[in-house]
Amino acid sequence: MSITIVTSDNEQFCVEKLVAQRIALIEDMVENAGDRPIPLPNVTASVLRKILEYCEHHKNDPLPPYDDGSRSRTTHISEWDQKFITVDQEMLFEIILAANYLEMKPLLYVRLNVPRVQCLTACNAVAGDIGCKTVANMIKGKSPEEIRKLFNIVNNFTPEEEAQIRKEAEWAEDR
Amino acid sequence: MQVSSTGKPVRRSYRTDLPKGIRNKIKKLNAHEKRIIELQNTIIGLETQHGIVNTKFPLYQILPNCITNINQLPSDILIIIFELALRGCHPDINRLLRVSRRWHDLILDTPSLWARIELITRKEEHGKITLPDESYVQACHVRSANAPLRIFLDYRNLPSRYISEQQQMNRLLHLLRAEGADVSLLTELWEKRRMHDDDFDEPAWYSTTRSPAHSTLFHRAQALVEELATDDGEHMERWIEASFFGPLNVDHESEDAWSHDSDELHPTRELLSSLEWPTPNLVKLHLSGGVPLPLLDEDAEQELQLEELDITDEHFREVNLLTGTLWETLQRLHLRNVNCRCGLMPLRYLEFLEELTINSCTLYYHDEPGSILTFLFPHLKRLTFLDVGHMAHLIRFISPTLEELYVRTTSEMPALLIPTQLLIWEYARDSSEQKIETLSGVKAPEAVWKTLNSAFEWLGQAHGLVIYGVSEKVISAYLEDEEIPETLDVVQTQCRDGRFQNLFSRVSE
Repeated sequence: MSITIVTSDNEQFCVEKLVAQRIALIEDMVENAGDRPIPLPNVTASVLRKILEYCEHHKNDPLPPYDDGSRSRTTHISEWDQKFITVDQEMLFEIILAANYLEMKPLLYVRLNVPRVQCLTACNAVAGDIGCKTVANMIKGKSPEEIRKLFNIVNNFTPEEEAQIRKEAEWAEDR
Repeated sequence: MQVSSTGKPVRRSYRTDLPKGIRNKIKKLNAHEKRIIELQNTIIGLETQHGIVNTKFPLYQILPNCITNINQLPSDILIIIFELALRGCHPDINRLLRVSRRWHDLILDTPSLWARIELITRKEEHGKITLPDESYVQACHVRSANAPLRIFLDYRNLPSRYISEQQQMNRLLHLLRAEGADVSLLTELWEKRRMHDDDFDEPAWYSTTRSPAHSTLFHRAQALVEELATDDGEHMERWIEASFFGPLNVDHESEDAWSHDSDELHPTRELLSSLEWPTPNLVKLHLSGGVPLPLLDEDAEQELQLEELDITDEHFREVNLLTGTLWETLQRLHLRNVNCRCGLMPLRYLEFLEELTINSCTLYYHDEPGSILTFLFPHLKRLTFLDVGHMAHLIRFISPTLEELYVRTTSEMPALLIPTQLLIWEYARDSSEQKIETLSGVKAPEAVWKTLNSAFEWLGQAHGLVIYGVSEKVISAYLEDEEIPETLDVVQTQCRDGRFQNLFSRVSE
């Protein structure tokens, strides 16, 4: 069984129900929509295509294998997810925003404490917070200047303010 | 109106006998002329700036054309990103503060971002070991407002006062190389000794004098812990999670070191001694390495109400479960490095346990004579065995509500016959076995086949089976050969590309 989704740029996608059900917002809308197409006014076709690619890949997932080193690898991303999320910054942020709108928490961030047994029986994969994790990994270990350059952020502090903030939080400068 | 070429008004001469009304009009006219000239100068200035901006505009056009950028993310998502980015390096929060005004204000206005304190000894590339200073802990205490605190203390890289022969040699080589000296003869002699000296493998540790740098670091580590306990432990009352990794000291390995029983030779006790205040809200505790935590002392006047405990066998026996209320509150236990049956004894009192992990257990039947230990867990939902060896002759588990049983093994394992709804079986093979499997196609080595046999013995009446560490082709071949129990609905595995695949399913999708 399949359902039809219409994007903000008026493109129609015919999607397998099992795949679409991984998107919480659509899952909620399917019951009320009947046979009518489901409109997604906040998602463009290019972004939805990526999101459906993710859903298709993870449609049978249980939770990832047990990881007893999880404390140190909380920002780990699997190989496929890594390739999937290797996109330009604009698409990366579009995916995060769309995942937020579509209430697709797995694509946004980890849903904790979901028993694996539920995942297997309900085919409700938790594949990781790849969007936010990717941005977090880009930030990790970088200086303020490197972060600004990476994300094209304007430094809107005055030199005096910047010096003051540096002075107030210089605990790690000597690390 | 006339304006001179210099931009100044032209001075005109008038008759002195003009009526007063006309003179006033002339005065007003002069004022207007002056204002017009000012405005003309402003226009000239703006035109100049416009020209400069036009010149620079193409430079901005070649910057990445991000229509959607990080600044468009809502604050709640940005906070999640910050939390993830700061895990394992929380003192770096000071870097994020300096990125932009929005980031600065958002971080300062979010107490939860400050409710995590990480005191971790880090080894820099050049070997220097570093820690943040006390102002970091102070900032976290103040800016987290009244939020529950999570404490992560990891002093594994804190240098020991004792060093081995090998470490001494490494130090010497490092010094000589730094001076540009030829170390070939020295390394040759060292290698010869290593190869031919029978006593070489015996651990030999030597006391060294603390260098000023080491002393400074040790005192900073101690001061940081004292800061955690500041104000008579006021902030410790907010602790909900604490994780401690003690220094990797020789104390636990060298009897010689223990024979000099003083605080100086027991640095971990000295380091943590200030953590003596109550932690009434602590629900999650992780202890690793030699961590003599005062709050776990028998004479500590507090009753722990932990829900989750991650602990080694040695510590587990020390925690006085019967005098406190721990046996009533503990729901999740992760027990590591169990070396004897007595290490498991306290499990008998944990009847409210919902999750139990036994990680690395080496019990030998011949070394452990005695009756079989039986544990009753009426509420246990998830049971995990990681590299536990053969326990079937020694232990029985009665857990009628078990939903998930996870087994990680490197070999076949006699079944403990524990009823479960789902069995997750991870074959933690080494790389050489992977090669055999690749070379021989779908024909699995005997060890892989045997571990799959074990998985089906452990399966019992389970409805689901997930297998990790064995290729889907091998599992499919196995499933073709073996009889699948009628109670089993789904067999699933993770493919090489990371995807999960149903290899057998009675449930229609």
